[in-house]
Amino acid sequence: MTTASVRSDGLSGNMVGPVLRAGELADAVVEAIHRDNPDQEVTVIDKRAYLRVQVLGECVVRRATLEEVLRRPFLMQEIEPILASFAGQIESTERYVRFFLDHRR
Amino acid sequence: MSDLPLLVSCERDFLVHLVAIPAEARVGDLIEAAASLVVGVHVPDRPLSTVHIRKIDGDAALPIDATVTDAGIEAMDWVHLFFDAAPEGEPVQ
Amino acid sequence: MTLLQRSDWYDVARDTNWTPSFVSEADLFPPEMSDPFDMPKAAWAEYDEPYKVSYAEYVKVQREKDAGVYAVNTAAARTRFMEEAGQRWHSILKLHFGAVSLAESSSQISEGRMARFGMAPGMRNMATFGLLDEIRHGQTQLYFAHESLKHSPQFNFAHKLLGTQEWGAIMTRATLDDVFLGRDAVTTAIMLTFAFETGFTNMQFIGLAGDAAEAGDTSFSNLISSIQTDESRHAQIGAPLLKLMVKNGYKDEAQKAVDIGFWRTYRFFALLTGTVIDYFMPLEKRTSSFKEFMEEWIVGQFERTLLDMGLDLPWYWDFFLEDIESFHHGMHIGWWLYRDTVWFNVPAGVSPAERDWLESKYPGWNDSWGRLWSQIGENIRAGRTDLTVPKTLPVVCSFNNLPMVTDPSKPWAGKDQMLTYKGKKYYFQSHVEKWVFEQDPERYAAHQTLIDQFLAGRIQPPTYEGALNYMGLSPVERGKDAENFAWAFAGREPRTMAAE
Ligand SMILES: [Fe+2]
Ligand SMILES: [Fe+2]
Repeated sequence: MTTASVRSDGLSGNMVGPVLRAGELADAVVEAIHRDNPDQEVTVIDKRAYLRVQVLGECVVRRATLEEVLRRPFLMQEIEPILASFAGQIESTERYVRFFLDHRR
Repeated sequence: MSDLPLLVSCERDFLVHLVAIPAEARVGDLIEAAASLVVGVHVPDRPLSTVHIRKIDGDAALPIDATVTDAGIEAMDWVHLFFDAAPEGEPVQ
Repeated sequence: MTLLQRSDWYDVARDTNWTPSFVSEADLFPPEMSDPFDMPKAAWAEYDEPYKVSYAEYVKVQREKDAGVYAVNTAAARTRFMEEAGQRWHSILKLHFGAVSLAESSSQISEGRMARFGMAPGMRNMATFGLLDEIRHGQTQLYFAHESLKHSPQFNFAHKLLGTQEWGAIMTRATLDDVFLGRDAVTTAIMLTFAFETGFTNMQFIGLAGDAAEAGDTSFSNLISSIQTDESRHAQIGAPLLKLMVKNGYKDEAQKAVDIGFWRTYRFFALLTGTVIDYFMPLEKRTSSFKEFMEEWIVGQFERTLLDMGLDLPWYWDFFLEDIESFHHGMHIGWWLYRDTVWFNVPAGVSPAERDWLESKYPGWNDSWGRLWSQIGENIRAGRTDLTVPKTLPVVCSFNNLPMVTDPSKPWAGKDQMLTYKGKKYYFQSHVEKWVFEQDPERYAAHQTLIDQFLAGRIQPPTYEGALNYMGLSPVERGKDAENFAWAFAGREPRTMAAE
């Protein structure tokens, strides 16, 4: 039995992405996600203390893009202090962080 | 004879109370002791004569004049208070 | 000089699996501590942690996180906030720190077990950082609780609770022991890091952080959401393990561990988070109901990840979805009635406006739980507050140690809630607890719930007052109605206040 439950928020079960602690860096990450996922619709749900960012199926955020947005050098690990949670699986490298699903439904 | 510890729940209530009763007490005494924890406390007051008791996994009301032992109640059994059906036919738990 | 990138050296540096020559492999990694399923080496070789960190990065990032937590509010501003925050918010903090501080601290043992007995080097690495994380979680939360002691001696329970026989403490210890202190490295990784940490801690540490921000408690909001960034990393210990288990023919074993760990964790958080979100939070500060949080974090986010691992939904999923509509309401009225037995003052949370909110979030609430509160309110208005004080102990579930409850408009499940094992009668909150018990009765049969301890004569005198002393609650520490019964008179004139 693997039928997913009906979602009361009406969102697709294939949404992935970070849940970010609100603040300047979170806003920069959201901006970078817009740039790094150009053909995708990016939804941001603002819960005041945190932002839930949602992209269908896969969501990438790159170090280089964050450096552009922030106009300063940035290490990918600097995202960790605001990465409170995430939907989907994660792949974390020095160049990018990626949220994804193995099996779309 | 020492007291029998019992689990007691009640129609329209939400939890199970631990109640100790002497083995030679009557079922009617058990109803009275158990109802005092719930009736008029968590559920509206009502006459004791409208309160009955059964085993949680049985349907039949236990005879009020029998002793709890004769009524087949053993230590750590679970018994349940239930009420005469309300006139307007409220759901019975 | 150019420094190597982490990816240039990480795989080589973490490869700490070699063939032991002084002791046998089985002595180095005893199955009961490491891998009871004896999965082949080739399967373990597939373990690749998705959230990699080097020690240098870890130290730098954690230092930054801590600086953020301690810098947010000056001591003076914090004191001012606490003085103005009101009893309800204080209760949320007391409950949180009591239930969480030392529980997190104890999970160092779980992380330590995975760090020592995990069969994959990557697992050991991640767990080593996890262990350091949990030191931080214990310490920062104890620090905040300690700073609050000047506001109430009840904050002392941040440190005291788990050393007592208070019923919530018995429940917490039993849960932690089963889910993450008394398990091998594989099962710990599934039950703790996957079921507990990628699932439920999100609600208490991020969901509640949202509410805390609304309530103006920036420090607390910041503290708990910062903790969750650590959880979010070390929770990833479980995912690669689940994947390799499914791929190599150990899906059933993985599924069973998820099903057990998830259920036990659910009960813990229904009590802790469910009651706080739906009843303790001041109405005007609420962001979502507990059910809505469950739908966001568990039904949405966690369920989807579970399926993506190649696992199925737990067999009891339909029952679970029904249960989130009722169980925590029972826990809350239990907190309130047995408020003497807890270390914080319990808000009823059922003023007329709050009842409307509850009815809108949980249609039918007024006709089930609401009726109980109506009777209680009537007794209070009649001056009979004595009727709100219990005369006897509630029977607790033999497995989860929480009072057994039902939606008052629904029947008990009777037979599905009981069994006799080796001559002893066991009673359960539901058929799911019973199922877990049946999976390994010897693991659970000897556990002594508070009721077992009472019946064994350990509580003397065997009275309600005797039980309060047994639970370690001095009169100043025992909870009261957080609003001195004002809720029962709200919207009614004249206002005659009973005193507690
Ligand atoms: Fe933690
Ligand atoms: Fe943790």
